[in-house]
Amino acid sequence: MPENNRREDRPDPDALLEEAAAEEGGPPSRGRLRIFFGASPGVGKTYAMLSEAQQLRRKGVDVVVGIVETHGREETMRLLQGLPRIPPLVVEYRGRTYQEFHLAAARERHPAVLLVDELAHTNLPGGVHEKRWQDVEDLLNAGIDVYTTLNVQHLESMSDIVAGVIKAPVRETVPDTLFQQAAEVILVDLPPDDLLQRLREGKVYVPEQAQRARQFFFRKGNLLALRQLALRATAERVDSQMLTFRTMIRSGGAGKGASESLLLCLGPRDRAPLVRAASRLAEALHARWHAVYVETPTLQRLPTEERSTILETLGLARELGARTGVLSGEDPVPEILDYARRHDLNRVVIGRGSHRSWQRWIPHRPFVRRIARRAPELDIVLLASARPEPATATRSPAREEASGWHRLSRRGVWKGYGVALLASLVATVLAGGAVAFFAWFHIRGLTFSNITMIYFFAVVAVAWRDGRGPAALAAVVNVIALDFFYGLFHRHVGEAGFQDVLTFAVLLAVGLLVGQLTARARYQTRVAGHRERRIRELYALARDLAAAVTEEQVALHGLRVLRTTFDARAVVILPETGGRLRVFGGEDEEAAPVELEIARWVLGRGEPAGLGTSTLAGAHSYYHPLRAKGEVRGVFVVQPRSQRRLRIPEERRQLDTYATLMASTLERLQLVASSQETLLEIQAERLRGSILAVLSHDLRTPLAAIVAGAEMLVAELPEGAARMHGRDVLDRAHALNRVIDDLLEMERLQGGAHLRRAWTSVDEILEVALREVDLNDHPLRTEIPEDCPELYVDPTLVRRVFVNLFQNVADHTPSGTPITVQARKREGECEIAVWDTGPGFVPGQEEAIFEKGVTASPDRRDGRFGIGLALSRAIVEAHGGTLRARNRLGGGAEFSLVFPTPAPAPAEVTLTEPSHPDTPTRDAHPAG
Amino acid sequence: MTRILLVEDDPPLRAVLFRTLTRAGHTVETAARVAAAAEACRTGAPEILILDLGLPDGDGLEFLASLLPPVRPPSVLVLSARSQESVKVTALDLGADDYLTKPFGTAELLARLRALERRLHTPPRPAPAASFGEITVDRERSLVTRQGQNVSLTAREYALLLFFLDHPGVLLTTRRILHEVWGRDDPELAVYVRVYTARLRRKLERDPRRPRHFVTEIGLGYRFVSGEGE
Repeated sequence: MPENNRREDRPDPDALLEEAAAEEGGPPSRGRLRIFFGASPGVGKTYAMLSEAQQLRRKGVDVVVGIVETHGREETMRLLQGLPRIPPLVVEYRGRTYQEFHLAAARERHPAVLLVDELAHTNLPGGVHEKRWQDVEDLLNAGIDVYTTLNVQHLESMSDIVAGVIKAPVRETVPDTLFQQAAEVILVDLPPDDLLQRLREGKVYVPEQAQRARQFFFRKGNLLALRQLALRATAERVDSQMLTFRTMIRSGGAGKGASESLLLCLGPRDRAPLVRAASRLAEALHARWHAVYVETPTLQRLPTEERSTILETLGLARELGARTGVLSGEDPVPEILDYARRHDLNRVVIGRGSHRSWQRWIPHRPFVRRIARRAPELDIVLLASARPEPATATRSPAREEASGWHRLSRRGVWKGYGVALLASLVATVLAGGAVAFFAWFHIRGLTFSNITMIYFFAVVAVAWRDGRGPAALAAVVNVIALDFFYGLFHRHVGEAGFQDVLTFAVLLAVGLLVGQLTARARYQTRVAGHRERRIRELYALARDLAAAVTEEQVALHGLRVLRTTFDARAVVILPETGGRLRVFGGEDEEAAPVELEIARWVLGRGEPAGLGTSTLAGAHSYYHPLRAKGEVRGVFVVQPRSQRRLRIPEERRQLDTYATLMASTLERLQLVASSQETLLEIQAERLRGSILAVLSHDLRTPLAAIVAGAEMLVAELPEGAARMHGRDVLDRAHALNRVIDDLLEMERLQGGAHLRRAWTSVDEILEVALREVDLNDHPLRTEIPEDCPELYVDPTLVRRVFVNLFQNVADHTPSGTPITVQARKREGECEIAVWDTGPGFVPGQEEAIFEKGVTASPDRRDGRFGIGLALSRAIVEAHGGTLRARNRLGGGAEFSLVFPTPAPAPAEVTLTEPSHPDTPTRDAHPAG
Repeated sequence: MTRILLVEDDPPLRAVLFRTLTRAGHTVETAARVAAAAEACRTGAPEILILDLGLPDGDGLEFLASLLPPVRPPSVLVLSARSQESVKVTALDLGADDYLTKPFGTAELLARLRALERRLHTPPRPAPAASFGEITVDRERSLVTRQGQNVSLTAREYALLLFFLDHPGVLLTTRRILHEVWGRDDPELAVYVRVYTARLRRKLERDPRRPRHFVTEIGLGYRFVSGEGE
């Protein structure tokens, strides 16, 4: 295979890796990247880059051209003179050769400055990296300074906007980080009017593939918009550079952005200003940041409104780029420290004004000091936080009652106090009974402490069952009751000292303490239970999905989980082929209200939308994409009974997990389906192959008998009518054979049979084709130039093309009409025209004649015509060429064939056969 | 007068071929199956085997591969409905001397047989002079003339010409020509054969575009047709 030979200079990835590993021993400083940045092609970026390179060269700097696209512009080419170049990598791809940047050679050469044009370029398959910017990263890491060029449309963050402006997708993008981290960005600016002028003068190269986009792209409106974008991108970069600079000064130059991280601890009173301040701080430090809120048993008793506000504040942090979370624990300090350690965050940010609210968590210990003592490695930043904002304006009037697992209902609380009173009553009755019993039977030994124990038990019981408040009530009531008993006891049973009264106090304290402990224990239990339930649900869903074999099952399992665990109305929407959407669970009672337009938007963008989000927030439901591996495979729509749940980060994450699980199951199903399709196709192909074999055998064998028999008749019969019929039989049999050949080749071609390509000369193909066609009295003229390239084609198939074309001309032109075959060599292709001077095609039918089975015109074309030309076109197209028909200006029909000719044609190799000197035969001296 | 074994399972075709071949003066034995064909090869010692590939009890190609000397007939002509080049190449690789695709003309078949026959009875030394069309080749003096005029050939062209002359009427695969004339086996060099055959045509054919003597067998190779007796 010729391809193999040409690929030899392809870089060996292993060698590159080794090289990279060797360099890690003593890492060179990273190279500097200089980007020549422009608004559109043609503004002169490459020119600017080369000019600067020339200046450097004059200064004696080692500047080398890695790759530069001159696009044939003369001025640019002139600037290339004198600059050493890295030889390009010649890559063959789909029969053509391309010149690519030779990364390995560039690294080997290791110049001080390397010019690499077109940063956004996508490398051909088979290179080291997929994109050129990755090559550039490599070079920078190797310590080589790189000069490159970039258009604004290729900046990743701009590509969406630009695509909107030029109404065409932008496929090649470069990550913004590269742009941001470039040592220098030089804006090459050209006013749109000047650019258009240059375009008119033909000074701007327009890539061929963008020909169609050209008239859209180079419009003044577009150019203005692009220029604005380019200016903005440059300005923003300058801005952020300033910021980095300042930060470096502030932190003594030590701070390196990437390793900085912040943890913002939100207290219940903290509001948006603190979040914004933290966000600015994070930005200034180039830090990643998280924001958390710790919900303690105390805080969960806050009014619903206040808790919603906290979640809104967290939502704002998320929008500003923080990762957010709600932690639960009785003491925020260990929770926060644990979170910080788990996420490797080195700074804790706390709002100063909010310290009072933090104190509510643990009343007697200053929060900040506790953090400082327990985690000396953490920096603590106190931000001047703000007064609480007047929040009423943003509140929705119909805020729903808080729901979810933290809820402790008011009714439950009042019930607890009732129980406390009841317990006191029972204790009093028991105590009274005990006193009466001892008094009645005159039993001695009952002390006041014993009575106290009964009340003590009641208080502990209430505390255990209903928490601190009811326990306190029970304690107070019991003290009063005890007081009453003290008198009673004193009268009937005996002495009781004042020290017993002390017991009351202890009773109260114990009651409160036990109440507190139980409440905490119960809270933790509830949290743990809830977590367990979530995990159980997730596990159940995963199990169900693993067993699912249809998309419908996936949707229904998903629906069940959403409805039960989220206590929500829900539907699942999956896209079908043809762009339709299929809604699952849309008919039943638990269906969420759906707007298909929003679902489509989510499918297209892969981002959540609707209720509770910032996109289309007016919708009645929340739309969440089912995405796995970056592909959106469906949407689920949820309308929870409580909107608040959508704002809790944990709940969102749970939804996300469900979505991912469903999406990967859908992906699996699609893979299975496509593999089954492939299997079916393979089997169908095998069947087709055997049918072809049987057909060809069963048709051709009888035909052979017919031909042989008819020939014998013709040979043996005397001249006359019978012999003429014999000849007719022969003719028809041959015609039939051609149809069979066509049909079989057509089937083979459509079945995807491989082309058996070989280098073949046009002469030989014509020779063989002409042997198979009876041209009758049509004189044939061939004009094939000496330097006509050989074709790299399947010779037997291409021969059929000419057989069919010649047959067509012979059948449909009056006898004596000359046929001409003309070959022309063109850049990268060879055109062969077959034309006659006959009546030509029926006007308007030039394309129709290539349709299978279509007979263009009954008077001109017989039945076998259709398949023959259709096959011819199929053959030519299988070779990457074209076959067209047209009427000639001077009359007559012309078929024009174009075959791509891969360079270099091997014929050039042969003429230099060295092995044997030409020794002319005797008597045959210099004749030519 | 040649002993021919005709292996063909289609009765009408077998019958008409039998008749054609006997009329041409051959002794013909027929077989419809692989088993019978194998038996006939052992007992009848045919000189030419005409073999259909699609047989009811086995594949003709496999049968061909299984035939080893001394049982194997000296010449084999394959007849088949399979027109793909790959099948032809396989058959030729397995030692078939020629290949005809069904349906075929009787004249064509007889011409091929004549070529094979000629090879069977080739005199040990080639005739000192040969001629075809307007061309005369004088081997003794290495002289090629066209209508009495000298034709200048390079050494390689002359070697190729002689190789063609020694194998009249027989299909010569590109690979075989490359091997015997150039002494090379690299299929990449097939272009030599194409280029040199084209040169021979330019020098020796009346119409090089529509050659009558150095005929292309597309995808396979070439055939030299002297033009006598056809």
